[in-house]
Amino acid sequence: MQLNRKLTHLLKGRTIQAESGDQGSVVLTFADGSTLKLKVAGQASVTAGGKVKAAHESGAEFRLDLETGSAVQVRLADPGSSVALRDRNGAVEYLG
Amino acid sequence: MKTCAVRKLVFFILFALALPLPAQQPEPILPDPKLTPGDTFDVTADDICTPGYSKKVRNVPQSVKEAVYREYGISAHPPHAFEIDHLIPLELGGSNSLKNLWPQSYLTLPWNARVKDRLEARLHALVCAGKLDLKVAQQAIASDWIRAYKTYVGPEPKALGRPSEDERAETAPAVTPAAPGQVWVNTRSGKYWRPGSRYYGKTKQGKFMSEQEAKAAGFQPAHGTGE
Repeated sequence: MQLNRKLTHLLKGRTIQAESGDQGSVVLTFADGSTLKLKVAGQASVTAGGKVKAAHESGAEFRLDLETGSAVQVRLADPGSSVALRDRNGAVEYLG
Repeated sequence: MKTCAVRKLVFFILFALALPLPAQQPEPILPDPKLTPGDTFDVTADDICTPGYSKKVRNVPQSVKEAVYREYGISAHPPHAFEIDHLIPLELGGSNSLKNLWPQSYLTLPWNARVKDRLEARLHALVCAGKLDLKVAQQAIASDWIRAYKTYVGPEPKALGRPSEDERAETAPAVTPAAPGQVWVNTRSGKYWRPGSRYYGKTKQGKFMSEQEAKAAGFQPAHGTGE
């Protein structure tokens, strides 16, 4: 899976504090108050927590590698339209 | 008798060949609504009117561009003949989904990628000035961008096609604004440049518009002065 440099640059070092979501979406909240919303195909359950090391994306496959060695991996609902990162104030940091 | 019939047939064939063909204008290339209905991110007018917004969107990967060409059955094309265009442009909240990408020609006349750029700048300015609802703008450009051009920009453009090599050689600078005095907006950085400045018309992504439109859309002068 290919490294998503732009998103890696933004997320590296951020700590996942909470995870929520429902059918079709996953929301990761980071310790700095920023949120990463992923539109996913089907239901996805994310249990991993920790600091983000890198973001990978290839087609519909999306993965966040964590410093702990674990990973968050989901299948995106619509590649190119399913990843949104906003800062604690709700301002857009990344879309893709 | 038979010879006469043959002569008549030859005459009619030659006559038909000699008739002038109707002038053929290249057909405007419109996106296939089944392949490219348009798609947007979940963003608001406030989001897209923030200077530098487009820079926050991931670049379209080359593999996706190739997939778009394949979808449209384009296996080979001359250099600079097409761009992979966002039907609903990034600056109006369009996404990088395959549903929003299509190969748009630079070469067709009068409707081509450069003309659509003018419409995109106009709609962005109207939305950011509070004169047009974002959803209405997105719907207008996704359903029929040529009709949207006529509605929001004006009548059919005359000469915004890609200049020939000769025309480009004769024109200095190579890129000229659609109207005198327009500024060049770098749509990725959110800064604009005035005529004669270093990056005027030269950044990879950008477009011309009036300074008033640029300010209304939230763009700021580069280095504080646009110089």
